[in-house]
Amino acid sequence: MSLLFGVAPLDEALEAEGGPILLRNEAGVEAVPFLVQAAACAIKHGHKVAYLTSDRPPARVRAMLAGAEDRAAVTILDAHSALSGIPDPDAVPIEDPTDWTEVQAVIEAHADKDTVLLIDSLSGLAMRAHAEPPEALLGALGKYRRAVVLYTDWGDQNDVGPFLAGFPSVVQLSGIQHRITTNQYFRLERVAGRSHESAPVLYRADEGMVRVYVPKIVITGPADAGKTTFVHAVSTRARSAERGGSTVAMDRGTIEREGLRVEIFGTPGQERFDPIITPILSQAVGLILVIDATDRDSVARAQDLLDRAWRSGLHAIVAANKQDLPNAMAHDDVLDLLVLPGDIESMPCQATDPGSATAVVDALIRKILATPEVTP
Amino acid sequence: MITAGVLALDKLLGGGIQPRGRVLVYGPSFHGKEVLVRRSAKANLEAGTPVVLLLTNSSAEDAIRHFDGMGVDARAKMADGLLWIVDVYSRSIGIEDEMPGVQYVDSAVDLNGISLALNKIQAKIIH
Repeated sequence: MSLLFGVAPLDEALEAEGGPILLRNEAGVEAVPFLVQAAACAIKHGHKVAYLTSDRPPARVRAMLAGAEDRAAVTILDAHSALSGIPDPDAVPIEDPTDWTEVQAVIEAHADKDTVLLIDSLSGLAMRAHAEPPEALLGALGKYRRAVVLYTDWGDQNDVGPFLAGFPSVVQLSGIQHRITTNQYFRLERVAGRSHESAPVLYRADEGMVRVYVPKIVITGPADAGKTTFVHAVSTRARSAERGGSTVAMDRGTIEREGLRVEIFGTPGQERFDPIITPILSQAVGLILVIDATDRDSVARAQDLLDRAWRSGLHAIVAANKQDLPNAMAHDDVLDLLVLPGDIESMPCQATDPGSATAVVDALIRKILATPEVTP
Repeated sequence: MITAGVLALDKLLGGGIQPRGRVLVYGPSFHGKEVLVRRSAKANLEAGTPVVLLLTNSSAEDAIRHFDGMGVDARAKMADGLLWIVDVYSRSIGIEDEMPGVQYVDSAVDLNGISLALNKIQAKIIH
């Protein structure tokens, strides 16, 4: 069994199927580390690598692949030096990278069934070419053991669209954006010519390595707002550490929505625990601020936590809890007391009712993945 | 309002550059476009506004030297989290220098690399 990317969910789905793979990323989302890992995996299994570079000089490709065991196994097809005017003696030159005929000829000249072809990137080539890529190019990719083609989507791919549609397998890399990109995830869109339903997998690219992780949603709020109740209401499994009825460590739970497994972390509400909240926020994809609608005085503290969430760039939602109690403020009155920064929204909630709490989590996940609301 | 670095230009712009505004400085060679950009950077750094400098035809080292000549201690501003440099030039011509606090991008045509570097800096600034 040979690994393709060294990223389990991708390898399992794509291994058996032999056709070219399109790795399509949103602009501003890291994709090159997937190619670097694909190169390292190929070399480790005794295959050769042809790396076509259009967006960086060959020296940088060698630097990225420096960790690979056998560098002699890598041939660099150089579509960059013609742009910079600085030739690289050890790379295979593509004299005119704007000419698809030459690009295709060089690709075909190095094709064999023991070589993995990596293209970094098709978007770079297409941006500078005067025509759309020829259909025959896809056939040329099929002459390799495997081809992985990177395409960064700048929202202007109309003329490349038909060519992209010809790839039997597509991996989409997306970002969770909220002023800045805070998290990245991939999804298999198509495998072996058939559309593929898959849950988003979050990843980080630290030092060029792709690492997948389980996303966290942080439940925070003032003391006694009902955070622990909330975590237990939405989780399939939950654990708490309490002393005298107050949470003194993290409440932890797991939830699965639309195939996405999310860890739920409830923070303690007392200010003395603030130092541990910041590092948790750095691993989170979103935040739910639970406030006690029966307690006007706790709103100032809630505001402080909310502003902090906004500064961290996270998607967030406010749950105005305890709506079932007779002395609870109406949701509109809560909104009068709280200044919601940016696009942060608020929802009425009753954490003792799992359905009500889960609706808040669902609204947040929809925001995070930017999926439209589905009305049953 | 964000200063363009030249008082007369700020007046023409109605007080300066609008926050979140984008301004294209356009003109023939040797007419001082870079001078204008550096003056704006200097004025904003002195006002305590963070500045991100994206370099496509000179290295981070060159930029720091230019700032020194203008009486701006660029390294100190970088250490204070005010000046951020994205060097898109050095790697593309084979310079492998590694200056702390500078984001390097492999080539000026690596547009996604530029996006990633800017995102990294924005994340640091808003935190």
